[in-house]
Amino acid sequence: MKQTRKGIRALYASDALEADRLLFGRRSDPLSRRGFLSGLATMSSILGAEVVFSRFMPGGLIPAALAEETAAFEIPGKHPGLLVLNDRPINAETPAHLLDDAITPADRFFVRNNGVPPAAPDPSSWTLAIDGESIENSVSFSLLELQQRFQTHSYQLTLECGGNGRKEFDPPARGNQWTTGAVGCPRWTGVRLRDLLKEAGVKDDAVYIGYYGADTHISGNPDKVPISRGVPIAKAMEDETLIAWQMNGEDIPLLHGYPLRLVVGGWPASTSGKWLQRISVRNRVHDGPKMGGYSYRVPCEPVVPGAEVAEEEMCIIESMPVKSLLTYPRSGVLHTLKDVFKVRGKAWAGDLSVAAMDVSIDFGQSWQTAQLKPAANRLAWQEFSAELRFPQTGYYEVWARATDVTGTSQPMVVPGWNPRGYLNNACHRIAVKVV
Amino acid sequence: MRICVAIVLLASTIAASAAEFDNKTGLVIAPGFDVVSVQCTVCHSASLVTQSRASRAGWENMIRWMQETQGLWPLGEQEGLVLDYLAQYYGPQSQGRRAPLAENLLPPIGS
Repeated sequence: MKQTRKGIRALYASDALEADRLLFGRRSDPLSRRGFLSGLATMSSILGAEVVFSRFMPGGLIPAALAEETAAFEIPGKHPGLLVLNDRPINAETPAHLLDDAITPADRFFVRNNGVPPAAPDPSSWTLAIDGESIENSVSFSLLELQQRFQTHSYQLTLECGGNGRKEFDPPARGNQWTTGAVGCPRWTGVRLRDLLKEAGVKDDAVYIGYYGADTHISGNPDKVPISRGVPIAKAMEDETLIAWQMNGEDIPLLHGYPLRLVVGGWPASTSGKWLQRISVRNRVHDGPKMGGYSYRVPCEPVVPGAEVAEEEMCIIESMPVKSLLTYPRSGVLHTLKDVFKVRGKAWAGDLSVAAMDVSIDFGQSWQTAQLKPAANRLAWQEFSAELRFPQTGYYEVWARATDVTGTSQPMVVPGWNPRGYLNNACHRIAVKVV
Repeated sequence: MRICVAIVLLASTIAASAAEFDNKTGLVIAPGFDVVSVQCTVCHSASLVTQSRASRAGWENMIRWMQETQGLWPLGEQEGLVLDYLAQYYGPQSQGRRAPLAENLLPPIGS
């Protein structure tokens, strides 16, 4: 059974339109690649349901009723403990206790894909174009040129999805229901975007950069760009903004942007474009898909939970807020009263650094200062640890609270509601039963 | 030949899934399931539906957004059925300003 399911997937992967024809006798409109010129009755009878508005259904796509079930879905190269939120497009988060490494290994790094990654990118022919209204001379670099002509830099950079923590918003916000694990801090190697932009010449009127990658839209429409975001020119020119080809000293895994990606530490990870082919330097705020509307934007002024907010009253998220995670031990452990309870975790603060870390075993009535290490470099997360003792047996929660260099701390409740559920930096906590 | 086997097996699996939840998609089996399981899984997996909660108006909003920006086709007369199904089985449940820890993160009860 499993084998036959893989069969249908493999068939569609090799030639989707041919698979349509073989399986269902389906032919779709050759120009629009939509609808059924034939094969509708076959597909409907197999599904046991009428394909409503079948004339709009894109060719070469499998209804989920025929595809693999998501429960058994595992992502090759990923730790089996990752929680797969969505297998099409692939989105998976990392449980807190699997984020205990100082440098996040590839198999424990969350996946947030908006589109479908390119099947087999060829690094030998890969190029990066630099263009846009605010570029003096459009240029194009091969991957080899990037590696040989420019100085290489390595930084450990924290990437967190803007929607990490979305699951806790009330009323609920739509989109992948991330809990706490859409964050990680691998070490990235590449060239500074600034060095490439200088080579091409940036005009004085430059406002923003926008990226374009080789991923394709989930609707199958080749004319649609799944996502094209960016950052203001000042952020693009920072030392740590990299065009990277390595993650933790190895080729970047395909799911994370092989062979080339943008890495912008401390900002919503959607600004770090994957499968990078082009950077446009714009003389206005970049207007690619998922820059406008409600995507990666929050109300410019705080709103009542559940409020309807006009698009023009939404502002683009820039730096991510101060946040932390307890990564050891895993939540739900039993602990002996006489022993010291050792906890540790990670803290980060977007563009800023973390100045203090506190933990509480009494729901925030009292706090104990944790040991906080400096970051490996700017925009990398910081490790913390603490030793706790409990006054008596029973159920406890250990709460962790980070404070950034401006004195801003994490809230214990879910902060400002927003339509798409971004920027939840509420304190993380783990449960422990002391016996 | 192998393809024929695949079709027969898949068809029988669908027919056999008469439980409350559909084995393949994880969707609740109720009026509207047929339409939702086909229409809402062409571009993305059903898990994007099953993990989400929204009011009828919220679901309608998502459908409009998908139609305006993501290439979703018109649902026509079936739209009401889709919205009724989603609002009833995937409607919002209030969890307050901070929900309790999830069950899988708690110590075993009785320990």
